[in-house]
Amino acid sequence: MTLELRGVSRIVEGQLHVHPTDLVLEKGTMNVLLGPTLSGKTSLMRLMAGLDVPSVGQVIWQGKDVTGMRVQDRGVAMVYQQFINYPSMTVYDNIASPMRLLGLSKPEIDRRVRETAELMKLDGMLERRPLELSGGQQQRCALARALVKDAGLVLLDEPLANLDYKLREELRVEIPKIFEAAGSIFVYATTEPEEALLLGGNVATLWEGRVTQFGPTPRVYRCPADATTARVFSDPPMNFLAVAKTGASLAFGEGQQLPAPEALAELPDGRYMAGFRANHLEIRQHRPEALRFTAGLAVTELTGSETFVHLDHHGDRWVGLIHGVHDLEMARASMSGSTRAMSTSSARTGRWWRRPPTRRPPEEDRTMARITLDNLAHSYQSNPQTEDDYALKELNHVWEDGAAYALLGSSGCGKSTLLNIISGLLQPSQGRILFDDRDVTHAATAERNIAQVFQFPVVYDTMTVHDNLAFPLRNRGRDEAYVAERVGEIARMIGMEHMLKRKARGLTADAKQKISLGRGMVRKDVNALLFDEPLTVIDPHMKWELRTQLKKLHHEFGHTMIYVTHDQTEALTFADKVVVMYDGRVVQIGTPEELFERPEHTFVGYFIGSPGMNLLPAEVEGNVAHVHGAAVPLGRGYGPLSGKVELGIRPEFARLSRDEGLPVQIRRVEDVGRHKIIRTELFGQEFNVIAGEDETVGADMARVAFDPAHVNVYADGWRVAGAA
Amino acid sequence: MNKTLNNKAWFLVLPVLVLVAFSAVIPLMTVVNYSVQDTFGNNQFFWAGLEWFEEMLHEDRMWNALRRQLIFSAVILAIEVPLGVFVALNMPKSGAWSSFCLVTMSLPLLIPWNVVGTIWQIFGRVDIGLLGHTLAAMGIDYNYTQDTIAAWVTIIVMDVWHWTSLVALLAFAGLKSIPDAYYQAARIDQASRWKVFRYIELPKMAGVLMIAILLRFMDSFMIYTEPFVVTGGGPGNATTLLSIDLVKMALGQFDLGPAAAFSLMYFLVILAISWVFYTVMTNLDKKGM
Amino acid sequence: MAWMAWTWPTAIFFLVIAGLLAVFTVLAIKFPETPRVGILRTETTRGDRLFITLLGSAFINLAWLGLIGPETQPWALAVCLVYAAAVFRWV
Repeated sequence: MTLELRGVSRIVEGQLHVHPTDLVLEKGTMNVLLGPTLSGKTSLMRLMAGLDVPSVGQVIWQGKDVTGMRVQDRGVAMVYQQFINYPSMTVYDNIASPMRLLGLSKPEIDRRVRETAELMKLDGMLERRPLELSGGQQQRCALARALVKDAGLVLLDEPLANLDYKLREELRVEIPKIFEAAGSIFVYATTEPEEALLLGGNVATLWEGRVTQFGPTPRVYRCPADATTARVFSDPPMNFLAVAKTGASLAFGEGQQLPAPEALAELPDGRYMAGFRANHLEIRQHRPEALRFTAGLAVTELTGSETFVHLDHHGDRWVGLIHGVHDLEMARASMSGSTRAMSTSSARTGRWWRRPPTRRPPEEDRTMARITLDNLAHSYQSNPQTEDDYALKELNHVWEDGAAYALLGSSGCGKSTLLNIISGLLQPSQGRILFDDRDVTHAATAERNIAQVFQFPVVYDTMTVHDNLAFPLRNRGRDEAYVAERVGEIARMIGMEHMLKRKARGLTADAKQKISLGRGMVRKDVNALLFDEPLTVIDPHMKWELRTQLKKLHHEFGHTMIYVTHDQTEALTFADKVVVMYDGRVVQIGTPEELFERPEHTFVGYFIGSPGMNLLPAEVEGNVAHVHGAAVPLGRGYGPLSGKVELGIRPEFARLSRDEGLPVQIRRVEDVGRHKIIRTELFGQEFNVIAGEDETVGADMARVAFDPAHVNVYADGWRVAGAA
Repeated sequence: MNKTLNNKAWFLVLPVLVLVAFSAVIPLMTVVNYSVQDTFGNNQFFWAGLEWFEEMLHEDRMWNALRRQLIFSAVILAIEVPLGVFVALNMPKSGAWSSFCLVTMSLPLLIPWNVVGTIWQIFGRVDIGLLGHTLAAMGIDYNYTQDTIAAWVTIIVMDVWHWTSLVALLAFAGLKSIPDAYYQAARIDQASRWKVFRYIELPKMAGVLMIAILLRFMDSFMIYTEPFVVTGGGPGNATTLLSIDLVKMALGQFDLGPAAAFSLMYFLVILAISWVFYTVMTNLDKKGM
Repeated sequence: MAWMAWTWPTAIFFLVIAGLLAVFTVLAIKFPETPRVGILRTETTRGDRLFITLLGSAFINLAWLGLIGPETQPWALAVCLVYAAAVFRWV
C-alpha cells in the first residue's frame, strides 16, 4: 500500500498552485505537511484525495494509476479544521455512517463503532449528539468517523487548529498512538513546527507551493536541506548569519574573524549563510568550541522556565532560547551553535537589562489606570440561583497601572467575559469596576478610553492604512495637523510607514492585526490596551514578530495591557502577571516564574507547562513523602495533612537515572527538537520526564529522580506551603 | 487517462440542447427573418432590408417607450435600494421577531405577477378599492385611469411594495455576516452611527447590494404583467413601457416587421445588461464578497 | 419551415455566426488558453471577446443606421472590424 505522486502539479487560472512534486508515501506512515498558510498544503492534499485533478502528472495508489478517479471511489477519509459531523445524528450513528454506506452487516458495524469509540475515548457518549459535545470531543467524533472506514489514506487538514492549546496537546499525544493501531497512510497538514515534531513520522516542508524537503521528521529538523526548509521548520524562527570561510577562519559582520570550528574543516572556502536554532544560543560560554558574538538586546521574554532573548546582531534579528530564568543585567552572553553545522556564540560588555526601564511619556499625556475589580461577578442568566449559574464568579483584584496581564484559561473559563466587562461591552451582574478611583461599571465603552484588538483583525477595508489609524482621532474631532503627526508616529512604531497610502483590504492577517493595534495606540489617553486572542489567525513565525513588537511597545510606553489567551506560551512570554482562570474563577495570579515553580493549584500545574505537571498520590511526613512505599525526599517540612495528598513534579525537574529514585518503565521517547519528552509509567501511572536534546536515554535507565526543591505538595488540589 | 470515456457526457446534454434550440434559437431566427421583411398575411413575405430598423430608430415611438422605461427603472431603484437597506438596518438581528419579519417580508415575493397587478388594480379603484376610495374621501383627486401622475404613482408604489423586500432580504443577509467585533471596535473608536454605516455596513453589503441593483434593474427593464394589468399602458401612452409597447405593436396592430425590429433592439439592450450583470457577478465571486 | 420566412441574407448571417462559434470551439479545444485580464479589468477568454465583439458590432450597426443612414451601411462593417481588432487586442 503506497501512494505515489509522479510529477504532479496543479495550475489554476494560470497560477501555479502546486509545483511539480514527486512524493512516495509508504504504508503505515505518518506524513506531516508543514508550511505556513497558503503554502499549498491543502492543494496537495486535495490532489492526493482526488478532490482535484492534477494539471500534469499522475497519482499512483497501490501501483494503479488513479489520476482523475472520483474521490468517492478512492477509499479516502478526511478530517477538517472545522468539526464536521452530522448534527442530527447521535455519535454512534455518526461513526457508523461510513460503514452503512459500504453496506456492512449490523454486528460488524456495531463491533467496529464500539472499538473505534473506545480508541477515541468516546465510549461514554455514543448516544449524544455532536453539538452537545465539547470542541475536542466533536473533533474526536470526526476522527473516529475517518478511522472506522479503514480507509487506506487518511487526510487530516489542520485538525487541531480550532482547539484550545491544552486539548491540542492531549490529542497530539494520542494521534500517533491511534495511527500506529490503524496502519493506513496518514497525511497531516499543519502550520506548527512543534506539532510536526510531536507527531514524528515523516515531514514534507512546503513553501509557496513547493515541497522543499521530505524525510524522517527528526532528520529534516536537524539537517534541513536549504534555508527555506530551515525557516519553515523552526519555531522560534531560525537565526541566520552571513559568513565567509577562508582556510581555517570565518569572517562575518563588519570584519569580525573567528577560527572555524572543527566541524567545518571539510567545507570548501567561500561565502555561506550559517543557520542556527534559538536553543543553540547561550549567554555563557558553555563549550570550549563555541563562537562568540556581540549583539544588542531588544527584548527578553520569560516563560517561567526559559528565557527568550531577542537580539540584534548587526541588523540580523536573532532569537535565543535559554534554559532557566535569566537576569540579563550585565550578563556576559555567548551563543553557541549546535556542534553539527556550526557553533556560534556571543559576548557583550554593555548592559543588558532583564526589563529595560519603562520610559513613560510626560505626565500630562498619561492617563493609564489602575484597574480595580470590586466584588465583581457575572451571569448570563437573568436570575442566577447557584454559583454554577455564574460565568464569572466573585472577584476582588487590583491590577496595577502600567503592568501587562494575561488572562489564561481554556474556552468557557470566563476570560472573555471578564475582558468584555472591562471594555464595557458587558454590564456585570454584580460588583463594580474602577479605573483609578473612577467607577466605570456603567460607563459606555467609548467613555472608558480603552483600546481593543480582536481575535479576527478588524480594519476598515475601504479606508487606507493612514485613514484607519486616523479614524479614532478624527472621530474625536482632533485637528488634522495633530492627526497626521500621531499617525506618522504610530506607523513608525508598528513598522508600516511605507504602506500608509495603501487600502487596508487585501493586506495579510498580521498587517491587519498591526493596524488594529496601531488604531488602539494612536490615542494618547488610552487607559488600557485589551487583546482578545490576537494571534489566533497569525502564522507561527509571524507570531514571534508581533509578540516581540507588543512587548517592545509595552516597555516603551508602559500602557496597562490585558491579554486574553488559551495559549500558555503567549501568556507567559507576554505578561508580567498571568491570571489563570478555570471554571469562572481566578485560580492563581502570579509571575510566570511563580506559576511554573509554585503552582497554587493542581490545575495551574496541569495547564501551564507542556506537558503539564505530574501528580503522584503520596503520604507526607515531615520532609519525606512516601509514594507506594518508596521514600521521596522533599525540600521543606510539612505538618499533618488532611484530604487527598499529592506530589506535583514538573517533567523539567525529573530526570531518568540508573540507580536513583523510583522505578519506572519507559513507554516512548518523543523527540521534539530542542528537548525530548519521555513518557513513562510509574506505579501504573503516566509520568512524563523532559530530557535535553543531547541527552541519551539508555534502556537501563529504569529509575526516575526528582529535584527535592521543586517537589510541591498538594492537599485536595491546593498547594501546601511547608516550612523550610 | 482515456479521454474518450468522457464523451458519453455529451449525450446527457443533448436533450437540453434540443430544448434550447426549439425554445430560443428557432424563435430568435424567425424574429430576425421577420425583421427584414414585410408581410400582409398568408405567409407572403417581401424583402424590406433595414427599413424597419431605420423606421423604428427614426420614429419617436420606441424612444419614448425607452425613455419611460428608463425613468421607471431609475425611480424604482432610487426608492427600493435605500428603502430596502433602511428596512434591513432596522430589522431585529435575531430571535423570533427576526424570523417573523423575514417571513412577512417574503410574502409579496411569493405572489404571482398578474395577481399583484390585479390586487393593485382593485386596491386603487375609486369606486370599490380601499386605497382609491380612501384617497377620494380625503378629497384627493386620484384616478389612475385618467391621470398620468396617479397612474405612475400607482405602478411605482406597486413595484416598491412587491420588490423592496427582496433588496431588504439581500441587504439583511449581508449585514448578518458582519462579526460583532466590528461593531465593538467602532464603539471603542467612537465612530458615529453614520460612520458605522459608511465604513462597516456599507462595504460589507456592497456585494449583495450590487446583485440586488442588477437584479432589480433587469427585472424592471423587462416588466410587463403588473403595469399592464393595472393601467394597460394608459392613460394614453403614459405608462406604456417597452414590453407593453412591443406587445401592442405585434399583437394589437399586427405590424410584424417593425415589431420584430423593435424586439431585436430590445433584446440587444437586455443582452448587454445581462453581460454586465454576469461580469460583475463573477468578479464579485472572485473577490470573495 | 415556410413560417420561419428564411431569406438568403439572414441565412448567411446565421451561417457566419454558427461558423464563428464552430471555429472558436475548435480553437478552444486545440489550443487551450489561460484567461487574461484586459482593460475591463476582468478575466476574458477568446469566447468572451467574440461575444463582446458581436454584441458591440450590433450596436455599431444600429448607431450607423440611425445616425448616418442605410446607404453607407457597409462602412459600418468596416468600423466593426476595427472594433473587433481592438477588442481582441486589448480586452
